[in-house]
Amino acid sequence: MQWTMIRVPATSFIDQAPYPVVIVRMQDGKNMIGQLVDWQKKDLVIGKEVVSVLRRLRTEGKEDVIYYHIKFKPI
Amino acid sequence: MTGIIGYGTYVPKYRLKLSEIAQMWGKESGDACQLMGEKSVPGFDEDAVTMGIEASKKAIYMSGIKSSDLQSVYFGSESHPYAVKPSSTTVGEYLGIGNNYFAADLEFACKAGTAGMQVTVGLLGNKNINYGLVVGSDAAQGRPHDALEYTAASAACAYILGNKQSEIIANILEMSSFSSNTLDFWRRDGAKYPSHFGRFSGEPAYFTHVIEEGKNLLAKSKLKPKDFSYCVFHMPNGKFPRAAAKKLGFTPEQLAPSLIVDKIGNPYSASSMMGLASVLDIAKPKQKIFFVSYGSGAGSDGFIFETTRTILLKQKKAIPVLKQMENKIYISYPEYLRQTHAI
Amino acid sequence: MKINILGAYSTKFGELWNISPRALAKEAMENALKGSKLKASQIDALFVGNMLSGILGNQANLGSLLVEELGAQVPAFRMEGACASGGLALHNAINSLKAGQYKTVMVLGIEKMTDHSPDEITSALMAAGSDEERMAGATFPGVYALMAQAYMQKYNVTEEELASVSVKNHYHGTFNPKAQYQFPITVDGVMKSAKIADPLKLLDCSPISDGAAAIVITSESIVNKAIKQVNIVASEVATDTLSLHNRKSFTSLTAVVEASAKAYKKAGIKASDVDVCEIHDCFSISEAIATEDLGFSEKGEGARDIAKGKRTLFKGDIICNPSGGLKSCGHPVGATGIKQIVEITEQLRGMAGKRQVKGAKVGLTHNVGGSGAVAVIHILKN
Repeated sequence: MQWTMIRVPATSFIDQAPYPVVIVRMQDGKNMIGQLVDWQKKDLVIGKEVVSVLRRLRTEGKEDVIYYHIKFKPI
Repeated sequence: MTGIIGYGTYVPKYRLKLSEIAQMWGKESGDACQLMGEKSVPGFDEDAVTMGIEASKKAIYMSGIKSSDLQSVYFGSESHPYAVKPSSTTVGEYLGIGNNYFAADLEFACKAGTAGMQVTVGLLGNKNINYGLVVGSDAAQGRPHDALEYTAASAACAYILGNKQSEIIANILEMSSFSSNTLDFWRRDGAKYPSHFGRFSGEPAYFTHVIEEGKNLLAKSKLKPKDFSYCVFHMPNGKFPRAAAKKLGFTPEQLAPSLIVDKIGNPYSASSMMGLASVLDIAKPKQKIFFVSYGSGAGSDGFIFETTRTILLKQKKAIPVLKQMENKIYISYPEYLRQTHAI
Repeated sequence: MKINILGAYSTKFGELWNISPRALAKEAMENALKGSKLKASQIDALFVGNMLSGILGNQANLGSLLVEELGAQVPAFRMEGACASGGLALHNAINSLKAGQYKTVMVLGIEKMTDHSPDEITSALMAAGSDEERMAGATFPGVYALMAQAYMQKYNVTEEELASVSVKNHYHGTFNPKAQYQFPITVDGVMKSAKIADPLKLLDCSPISDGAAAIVITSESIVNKAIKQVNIVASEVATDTLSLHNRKSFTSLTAVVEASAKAYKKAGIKASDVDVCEIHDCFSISEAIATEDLGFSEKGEGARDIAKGKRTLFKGDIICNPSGGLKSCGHPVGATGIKQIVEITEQLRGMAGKRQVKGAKVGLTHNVGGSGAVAVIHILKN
């Protein structure tokens, strides 16, 4: 539905910037916000269909627990 | 009888041209580049588990069962995200299979996945379970400037095995294994990259085990190479499987459909399993498939599969491996380093 | 009951690396007391608005700490609502007066932010959003950027038109000796500045600042004949969903519409009666949308009206952000809500110097928390 490109990230996302964040309307009508992955410039349009995928949330320390989170990928 | 009731594969979108690696290290494009042009690279936020989950979802879809029907998860990899904390239960949780399942992680270099298949066959044969999930998945790390950098790739492959004949697309006619203590390739706990003894990985390692296991399978089954429609071998590079097939008496035509290595490199635990999936994508009913995997350290798992009529129906539910491998975009060497967390 | 503003003072805003939080608080409160012609012993309680002292400074219990700087050991409270912390502190202070528990209170807004790296601040500010937004890596500018995208798309507004908000506020800032930035900028300059979260660029975003502001308010009818009496005639709060993606609209803040409607009713005025206002322009898009939500501009025309000069000092009809707003004056998060009151008080007293809006009678302050989860509106009259 909407997209933006984060260029100045928070500490835990510092190695992923720049990355797009999108608001997505799900099939059940609810909205979700998430990172867009496996994207190319041409995917950054309103109305682009995406699918939800599970990915690593961010890079954590060598001894920390690994977090997985839902992100979105253009179809 | 036990057999495969569904499978799924996942290949990350990114490819690195081998010529880029050669260029980086100032090598003239030579041998390595002739047989394989590129390798698959995981996204920054992908790992063996996220890829394994994608492959498993597809396998569940193809088998036509519910994820809660699964009663075992065996996850084979040499790049488990944790040294201690099973990938198999992360997969089990995200697939929503409940709590009543057998689970464990396996490591046996590139044959961790096929070892998992053998374990699952045991559980099925003993009627401990009705359906079992096996995943072979790796986000392989190749040391920069090392020979293996040209081949270490990433992908995941999942198989669901079951006992119900009406659901089986390929029966397992024979299975055996050849193991020894051979140190050709290893990675110490805590080390980021594996090490290897160069040419020792060839004759004394790969070929000894694959050929011996191959001969065992043929002897046990009393079959000859010409009885098979296809053969699949572990593919550490483009040369070895071709040489192994020839040595055992198979033709290039029997081997050809399995050679995913030519397109994406060597995704370690997913390699032979994906080669098999690639064959199952096009196989017709009542065809025999000869299969020998290889894992450094060392060992080979052998299977003889025979397809059933059901395969035609279920092929329609799969996106062929060949097609998946075509969904790609190229990245540069620095991007590759970033995505594999080397920088 | 009338709520009278007795003293109102704001410190300079900026990168005040040499001034500690205690010193900032002391400066603000001492001067507010001086202006009110009261002694510290006449203050019944202290209300503090602050967002980040816990996250960045590891200091909770802020009321107890800062009351030491007041010089009177009275009840002290800290209120937090992200960037609306200041406004919320005032709202609660007013309620305590209305309840009769206290008669005269000090309200202080304070923030120290500039001692940290950009990514640390970015992380800290994400506390204003939701966990879903944090997990998506949606920074605070990122969330407003999503609004800007939606707004620009819906109403065909250009980045240049949005840039005029920052240009106007910097122009106003040149007249404010307390502002963090007292130099003008151009639309071209905004367009050339580095992208933070597309389409928002560096000069579309308010800065990271230190600062404090304090006011003394009372329910007693103490009249200082020397200056014009200014009263707070309405103080209203409204909330909306924390996450942007759960809102009904991405181009309007329902919390602002609701709170201002309640405030206008309480004050017995219409939007067009407002002479001067301080708007929460954390980003250029925020002010554009705010002027629509407050009823100053038609929907979709907010940015364009600002570009045409309708909100600019000396030529507009409803003047917005004579202080320079958050963009030029600075945005020490917890202090902003109170600074806005200080500015409007000075405007209504006729003591705003070079930035005086002539004959200002009705003022409004618009203080927002997060991406619009909470809005606090105050209306002041002289």
